[in-house]
Amino acid sequence: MLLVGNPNVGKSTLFNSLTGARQQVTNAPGTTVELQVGVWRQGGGADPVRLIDLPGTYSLLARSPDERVTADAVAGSSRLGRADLAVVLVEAAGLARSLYLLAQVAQTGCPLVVALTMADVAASRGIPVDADRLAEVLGVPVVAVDPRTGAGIPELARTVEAALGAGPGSVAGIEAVADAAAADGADLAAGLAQAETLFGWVDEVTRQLAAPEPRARTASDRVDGVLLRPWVGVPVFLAVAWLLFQLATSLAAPLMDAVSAFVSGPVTDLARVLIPGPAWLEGFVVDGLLQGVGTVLSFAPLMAVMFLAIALLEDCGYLARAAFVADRAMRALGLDGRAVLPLVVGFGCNLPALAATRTLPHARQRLLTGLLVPYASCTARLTVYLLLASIFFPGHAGTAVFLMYVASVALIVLGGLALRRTAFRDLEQEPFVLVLPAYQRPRVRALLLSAWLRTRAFVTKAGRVIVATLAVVWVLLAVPVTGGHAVADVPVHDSLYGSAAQAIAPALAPAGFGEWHSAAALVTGFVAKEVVVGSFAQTYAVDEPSDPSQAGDLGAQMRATFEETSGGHAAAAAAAFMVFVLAYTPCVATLAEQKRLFGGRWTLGAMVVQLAVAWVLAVAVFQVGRLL
Amino acid sequence: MNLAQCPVDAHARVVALDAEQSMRLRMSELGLRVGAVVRVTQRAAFGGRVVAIGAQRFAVDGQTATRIAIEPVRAAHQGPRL
Repeated sequence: MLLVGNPNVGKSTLFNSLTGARQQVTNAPGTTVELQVGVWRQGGGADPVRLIDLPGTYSLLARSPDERVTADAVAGSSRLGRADLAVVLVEAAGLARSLYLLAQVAQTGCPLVVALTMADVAASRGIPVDADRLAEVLGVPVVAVDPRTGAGIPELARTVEAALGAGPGSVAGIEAVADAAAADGADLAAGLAQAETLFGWVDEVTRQLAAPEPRARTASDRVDGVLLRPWVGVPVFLAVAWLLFQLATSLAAPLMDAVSAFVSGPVTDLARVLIPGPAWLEGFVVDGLLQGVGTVLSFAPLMAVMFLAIALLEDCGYLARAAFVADRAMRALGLDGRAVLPLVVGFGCNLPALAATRTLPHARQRLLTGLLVPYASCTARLTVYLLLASIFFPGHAGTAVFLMYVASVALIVLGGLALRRTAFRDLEQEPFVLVLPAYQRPRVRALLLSAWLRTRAFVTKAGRVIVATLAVVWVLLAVPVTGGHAVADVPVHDSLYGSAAQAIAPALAPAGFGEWHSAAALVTGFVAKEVVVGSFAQTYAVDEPSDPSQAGDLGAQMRATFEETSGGHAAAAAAAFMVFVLAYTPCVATLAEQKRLFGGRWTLGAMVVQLAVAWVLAVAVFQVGRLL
Repeated sequence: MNLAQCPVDAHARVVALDAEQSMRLRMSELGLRVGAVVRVTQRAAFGGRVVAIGAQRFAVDGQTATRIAIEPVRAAHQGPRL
C-alpha cells in the first residue's frame, strides 16, 4: 500500500502513527532516494499491510529523481511492483494542489482511498472542508484523519480493508488513461495539455464543494509579516544558522566525549581482560576495532542532534522561509536556497552537514550540495591552521587563519560554478515559487522516531566503512618493515605506514613539504583532521601540545624540517600545507556518509578530483610564495 | 501590469506567465496559473513577494514576480478559490 501526497501534509506523521517502530529507511531500488517502508498491523483479524511512504510530490509529471520514484511506484512500473491501494493524502488547506495530484493518481487506474488531513488548519482559516461532502463529489471513500492525535485512524483502517476487498473504484470525472504516468516531465506539450484538463476538473470539484471565502489574515501571515520583513528576515536566518552551527560543535561535543570516554574506558578495560593470546591481538581489537567502533558511536549523538534539528525546522514550517531568505545568494551559485544550511553546518563539521542535505527535495541538488560540503573548512582543520600559523606566521596568525576561511568560501563558490558547468549542466534552474506551509507545532514524537531511524542507518551503514578503514590503518602502523621490532610495537618510521608515507613524500616536494613527517600527518588527516597535530607530535616523538597555538618544542622541530624541504622558504611551504589540508579529501567518516548517501562512484570520483585540486593549489601557493 | 507592481492586499487575476514551458507547467501545478485569483500579502527582501491564492501561500522571488502578468479585479472572487 502506498502513501501519496504533497510535501508537508502530514504524510510521514501518518506513516509513523500506522507503523510505529515497525519501519525502516531504505533506498528506492536503483536510486539514492530515501523511502520509508513499514508494516501496518491493523488488528482485529485483518492481515498486516506493507506500507510505503513515497517522497512528497506536487505532480506525477516527474521533474526530479524523487518525484520519479513516486510516479513510477503509483504507475506500478517500478521494481516495487503494482500497489494494491494508494492512500492519497488531501490537505484541506491546500485543496486545489492536493486534488490535482489525486486526479493524476486516479488517471493511472490505481485503486485509492482519500485521507483528509489538516482539516483543523483549514477550519481556523475559515474554510471548513467536509469529508462526507468530498466523498460525495469525488465518488471515492474519504476519511478525515489527524495524524498527530490519531483521530480517524480506526476509521481509515476499516475503509482500507473494505477498499482492498472491493475491486478498483474510480474517481468521478476522471478516466484511467493507459500510460498516464509514463508521460514524462520531458514531454512538455502533452504534459501541459493534460494538466489543463485536470485543472478544469479541479475547478469543477471546488465549485461543487461551495466553500466560503477564506480568512484574509491568518496567524501564519502575521508571523510571516514580521519574519519575512526585509530587515528582519536575514538576521533571524543568521541566528538560526548560528544556532545550528553551535549544535554541531559546542553542544554535541560533551555528548561525543562522553561516549568516547565510555568506550575507551570501561569497554576497553573489559576487552583487555577478555582477550586471550598474543599482545598484538589485544592491540588489534582494542586500538584497531574498538577505536573504530568508539569513533562511530561518538558520532551518533552528533548525527542524532542534527537530524532532529533539521527535522524540527522543517516540521514547524520555518525551513521554507529560510530557503526564501537565502535564495538570492544561493541562486548566484547555482544552488537551491535550502543548500545554505548544510553549507553553514559544514563549517562546524562536515559529517552532520551531509545529514542536513536531507532538506533538499531534489536528489541531484542533494548530490551537488553534498559534493561542495567538504570545501567548508571544519573546526578540525582549524587546529591545523592554528598550529602552523603560530609557528610560521607569528604575529600574523589571526590573519593567516582568516585567509584560510576566505579561501574555503572561494572554493565552495568556484566548485559550485564548475560543477554547474560540467556534471550538473542538466540541472534546470527552477522558477522560484515556493509553497509556504502554515506554521505548526512540531510533532515531537514523530521527530524523535525519525531521528532515531536515520541515526541507526548511519551507524550501521557508514559505521561499517569507518571501522574497516581504521582497522586497516592500525594494521599498517603495526607491521614492521625493518627488523628488530615486534608486531604492534613499532615506531611509526619503521612501520608499513611510515614506509608508505616516505613513498608519498616526493610527490609533495613541488609544494615544499616533501618529507615523511608531513606526508604521514596528511595520511592521518585522511582518517580524521583533528589527528594531524597529534601525528606531527608522534612522529617527532614529542608530547602533543595541548594548545596548538603554543607549539614549543614541536614548533622548533617543524620549523627546521620545513626550512629544509622548502629550500629556505618555510613560510611559503607552510601556507601550501595549510591549503592542502583545506582542500584535500574529507575525513573517512564524511566519505563513508557520502558513499551511503550518493553511492561509491561519485564519492570516489570526488575524492580523486579533490586530491588533484589540492595538490595543484598547494604547488601553486608554494611556487608563487617562494618568489615573494 | 505584473505581480511585482501589484499593490499589497489588492486582488488580481493571473493573465499570463512569461516563462518557458517547463517552468509554466511547474508553476501551474503548484497553483499559480492563468485564471487564478491572487492577492499579495506582503513584500519581502530583494523584490520578493508573498502571494495568497485562497488559503495557500507562496513565496515568489523578485525576478519571477516581474514575469507574472496580472489584471486587477474587485475583491469579489471569480475563479478558483482554493
